[in-house]
Amino acid sequence: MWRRWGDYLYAVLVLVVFGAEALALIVLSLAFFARIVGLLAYGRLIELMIAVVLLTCISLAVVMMHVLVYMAMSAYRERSRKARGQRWTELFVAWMFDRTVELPARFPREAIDALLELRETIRGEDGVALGALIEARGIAAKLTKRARSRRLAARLHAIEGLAKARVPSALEVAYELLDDETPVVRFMATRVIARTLAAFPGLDRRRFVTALRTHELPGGVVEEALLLLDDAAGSVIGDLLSVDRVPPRLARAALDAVGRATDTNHDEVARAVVHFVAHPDPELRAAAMQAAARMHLREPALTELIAGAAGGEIEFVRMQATRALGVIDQERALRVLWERLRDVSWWVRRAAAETLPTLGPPGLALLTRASNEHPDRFARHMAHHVLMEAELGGAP
Amino acid sequence: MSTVLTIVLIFQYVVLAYFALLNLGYTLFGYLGLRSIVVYSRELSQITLRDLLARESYKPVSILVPAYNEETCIVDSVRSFLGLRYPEFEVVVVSDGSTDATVDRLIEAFALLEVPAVYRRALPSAAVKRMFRSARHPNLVVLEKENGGKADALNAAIDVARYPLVCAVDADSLLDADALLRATRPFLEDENVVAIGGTIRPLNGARVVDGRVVELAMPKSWLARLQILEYARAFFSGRAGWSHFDALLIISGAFGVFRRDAVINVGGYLVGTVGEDMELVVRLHRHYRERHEAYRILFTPDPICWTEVPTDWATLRGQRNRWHRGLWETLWTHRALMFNPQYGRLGTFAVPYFLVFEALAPIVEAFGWIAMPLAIALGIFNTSFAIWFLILSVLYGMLLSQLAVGIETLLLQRYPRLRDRLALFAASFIEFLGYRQLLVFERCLATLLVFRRRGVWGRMKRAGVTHEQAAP
Repeated sequence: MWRRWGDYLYAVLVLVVFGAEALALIVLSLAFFARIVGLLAYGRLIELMIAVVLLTCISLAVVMMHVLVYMAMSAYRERSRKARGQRWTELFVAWMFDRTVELPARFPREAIDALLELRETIRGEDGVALGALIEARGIAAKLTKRARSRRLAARLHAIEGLAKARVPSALEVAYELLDDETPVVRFMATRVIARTLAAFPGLDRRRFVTALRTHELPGGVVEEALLLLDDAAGSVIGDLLSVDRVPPRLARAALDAVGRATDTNHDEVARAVVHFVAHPDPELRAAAMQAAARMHLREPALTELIAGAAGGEIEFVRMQATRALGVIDQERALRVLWERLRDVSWWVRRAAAETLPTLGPPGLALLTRASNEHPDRFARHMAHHVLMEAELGGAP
Repeated sequence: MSTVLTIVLIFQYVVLAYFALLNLGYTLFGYLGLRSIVVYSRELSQITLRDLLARESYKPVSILVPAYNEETCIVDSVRSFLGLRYPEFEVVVVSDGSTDATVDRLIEAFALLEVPAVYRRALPSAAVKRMFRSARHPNLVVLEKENGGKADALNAAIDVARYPLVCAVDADSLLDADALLRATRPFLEDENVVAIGGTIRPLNGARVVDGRVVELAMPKSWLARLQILEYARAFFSGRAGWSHFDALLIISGAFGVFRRDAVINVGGYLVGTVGEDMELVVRLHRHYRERHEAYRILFTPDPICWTEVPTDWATLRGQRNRWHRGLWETLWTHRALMFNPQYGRLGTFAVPYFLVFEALAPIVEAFGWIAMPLAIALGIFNTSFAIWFLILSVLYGMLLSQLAVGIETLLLQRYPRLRDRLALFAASFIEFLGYRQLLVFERCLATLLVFRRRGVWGRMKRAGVTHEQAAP
């Protein structure tokens, strides 16, 4: 972890010191060349050299002094800020329990940090009250203003503050920042929106769905944002997946979030998952089958689709279908899994062996039988291996 | 005589121009490194890490630990890996034909039980003798195999690994608790990322409790202190700068995270080289550039890995000899990249830089030292110029060291005492009083021996770091 205080100043100091040194080195090189071709007297060259040595001495002293002063000051500052922050936290906690507790008119920096940290930790009604305090005292407005700063470091710091604050007034600037040219700003803005929507389920989510569709965000960032939505995730995922011609990158992220985000067991999501299990894109098909398994989705329409996919041509689809067999009719699943234990792919055989114990005692019994009686040697090995792992507690 | 004088003058000019260019490069990288830290410290904040953990938005990781005769440290290292803060990971230890009690120590400490060695062999490796799983830690796998070298052991570990990301670490290394969370984050944010390197810091002198570094103190050995400066310069300046240009050629073997499928696609680690870490990274670059596929290989300044650095001359010389041979081997294997614009800035800039300013640097420096007595013998030695030039190069070296040390003070975990700072300042001067020259000699030797000793590792003697257990 890095200190966020003093780094900017040090970067400026380094730029100045080394800028001067770089210039000095260039001048020295040119002077030396001039000396070789006889354009510069030897005495002048030595004078120049001594000047560069002196400059380097001064630079070294400046950098060294800066390091020592920074060491001492940052240590002192951290100690004192920690103590003051602790006092502010205690005051805000007291205010949470008793709203008549008087708060000072102005909040210094450590008070703002303590308040944002507390807001980050406290959920529910008290959390909302802290959010209201953040807005009422103009902290959110100040952060919003800094989020539009031209300095990247300041902008990122402010966006992080808004992510902690989770206040509705931050949404406008967050949507605006989705168009920022710096990727990390866009990613952090996405998180601000997701965290705020999670804190205020009544807020309009359709704008977020549109923003996700129209901005080129990486799948991982979209998936994380969906997971951060908490109870709001189900409807956003449902909206994303039900849109015609949803970009594959977005569909994949949404399917990956299904069953992992809270409250995604919506009818709309279930219908979308069934739809994607039959999708022509194999990656989406595989992701949908993983989602169905996570949701424990028992849709009759899935039986044929998943059982069929388990015998398909593409290895990774076959593997995901094999893992998803747990959601279909058990008798059929056991038959298909026995068959998949002798698949040509090591990964599919492993998936089949690992899925069997998840089907309860019949599955475990079949796995035990397979380890002894399966006609395929590789199937027997895999079943034996997974059984041993299960005994050691290593089975997934 | 005038011809000799001209040659000496031209040589002096070449050396000065070389010195100026090299230091300009270091300066630029130093600034870029610092700039990346300013941004990085804000973009990967604590709330981001909390979100990652709470929402389980992550990619699972297999930690690969090749071990050869590591009986003194393997149990503590594995314990520290198992204690990492990460939702889903496994530790794959490969004993690469160890002749000591490495495997016995592991069996005893982690209640290992032998299991059938069933895994998919995507990469070739020497024969696996036994495979173990732990009765206490479901996410620990141990392989015992015939000796085949570090690269071979890593290939076997990749075969056994079951997660999409693999993290190669040294058996004597310790990772910060959040190191995996930080290192894997870029893989989520950018689908084109194929590899990430982190910062390596010397462990010597640190207080380690339960496999975590809790306090830093300056090691007693000056040799270790000098290496603190070297590591700071290399990681806080050099690598961050190269990463900025998308031309990072080295991810340290002590800590690097890779996409497993990418490593398998390029054929895994190259066996028979001592620079397998650099070679793999260059091969990855080459693979993607030749196919015109988008990819990124990055350095992030803060997942931190701690490693024990040598405290005796013999081990240090052996290590530097090996590193330098590794560099030459990689440059030779991938000579097609040299000055080849087809490979973009990699071919036109990064690889030539490594040839001229890294591989050839000790030779140029050695020539400088040899030229001095030669010039004295010829009666053309200019004492005042030589002295001023020497002072300038020492001061500039010290300045670059202090820049990196200054970056280190920005870390929350830094050397906290004033006397540590003064020791580091002294070390930046002391390194010019023989240390640097000896290593230049060793690297020259490595250059001469590169083809004769191809793939030869040598032995690393470890002083061992004292691990404490936290009070119950």
